[in-house]
Amino acid sequence: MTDKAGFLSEEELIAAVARLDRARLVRFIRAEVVRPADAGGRLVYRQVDIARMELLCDLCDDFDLGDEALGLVMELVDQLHGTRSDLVALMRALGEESEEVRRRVKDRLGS
Amino acid sequence: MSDDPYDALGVAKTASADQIKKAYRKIAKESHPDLHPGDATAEARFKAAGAAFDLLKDPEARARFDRGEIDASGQERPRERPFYRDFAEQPGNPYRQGPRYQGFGDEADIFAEFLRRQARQGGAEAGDHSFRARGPDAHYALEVPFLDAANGGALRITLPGGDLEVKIPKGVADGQTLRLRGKGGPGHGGGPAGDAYVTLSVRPHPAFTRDGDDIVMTLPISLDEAVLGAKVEVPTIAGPVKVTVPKGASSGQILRLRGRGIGAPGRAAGDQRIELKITMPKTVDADLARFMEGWRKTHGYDPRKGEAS
Repeated sequence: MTDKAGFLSEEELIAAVARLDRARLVRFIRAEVVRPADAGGRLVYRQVDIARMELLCDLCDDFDLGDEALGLVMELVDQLHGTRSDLVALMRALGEESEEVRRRVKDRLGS
Repeated sequence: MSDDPYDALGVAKTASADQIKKAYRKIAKESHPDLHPGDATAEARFKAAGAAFDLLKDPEARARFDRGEIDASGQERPRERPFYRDFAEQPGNPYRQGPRYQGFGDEADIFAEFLRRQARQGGAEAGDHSFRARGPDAHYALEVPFLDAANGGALRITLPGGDLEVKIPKGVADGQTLRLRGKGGPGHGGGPAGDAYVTLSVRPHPAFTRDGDDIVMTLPISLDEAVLGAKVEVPTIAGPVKVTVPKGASSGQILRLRGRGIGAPGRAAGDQRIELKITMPKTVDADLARFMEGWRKTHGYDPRKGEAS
């Protein structure tokens, strides 16, 4: 992450995401599927926002999603990733447990 | 990856524009990496289909490809782009939905979150039908001085409704997001307040750069210090220390101060790596030149010997 320093202004964001223009950005913000961060009163975008915009552009271009559907899909996508992240954390915690604990959990899951 | 865009989409050469679009959408739906985060091969399939579709959706480019005027690779615009899934599963993702827990070395908290969530669900079943809504999350971006990020510290975000204090954990990385529970907008009808997400950008330092948990810097030394060795004062993230420059030091030589790098919780502290750089005096005076002329006659050496030229 060290080479990705700093926050992006609206202009820099539009330059970074090929399929994004101002109208589309306004639409995403109005649909509340992206939220710029407040940097002392100035609105800026983060690296996660660039990746999110790419996905939003895919959903608009490839699947013709409207604002409502866009909001719904993004909420489900965020839930999916949040749940996966929890699962990863649980698996890591479990991996650090003793053989006996892991076997007990496995037996419980299997029954 | 197949070179033939028709193969990549699984359509016949005679496929209509509509069939091509349908085929691409089907692959995109089944293979979009952000929609299938657990599928390691999704990205390659999605990119291949995307490149093929980029070519075939344009009737002119498709006709030129069909006539053999261009090949698939020549026309292929590689879609260099980040994928959301690479950010989305990080605990600090500000768009995270569902159970949350602090992402900085506090994974144990996940169990507390699970228990809270179960308690909430239980409560809802007990027949509370009044409208309670969690407050909205707030998103902030904060520049952090290099040394505060390395050593930890506290910064303030000035807000109309009162300042927000942000504790910077020791060793935070550039781009990391902190979550301040309950510091977002107020809830409705007795619902809990939202959270504040603070994404950090670490300001560069004039002397130090960071490489993992190591601190890297360049230390200029004089010609006599290089020849004779010296004890010199060197800045570290925790203040100046005395360092011994060995006799006969060369430019590019690296001194390593063990454990003087970044000591983030849960990891062994990094080192400080000091690259020596011999800096000549502003002017080479007659004394030095005369000495060197004499010295060269009997002690000349070729530092480029053995190096590929």
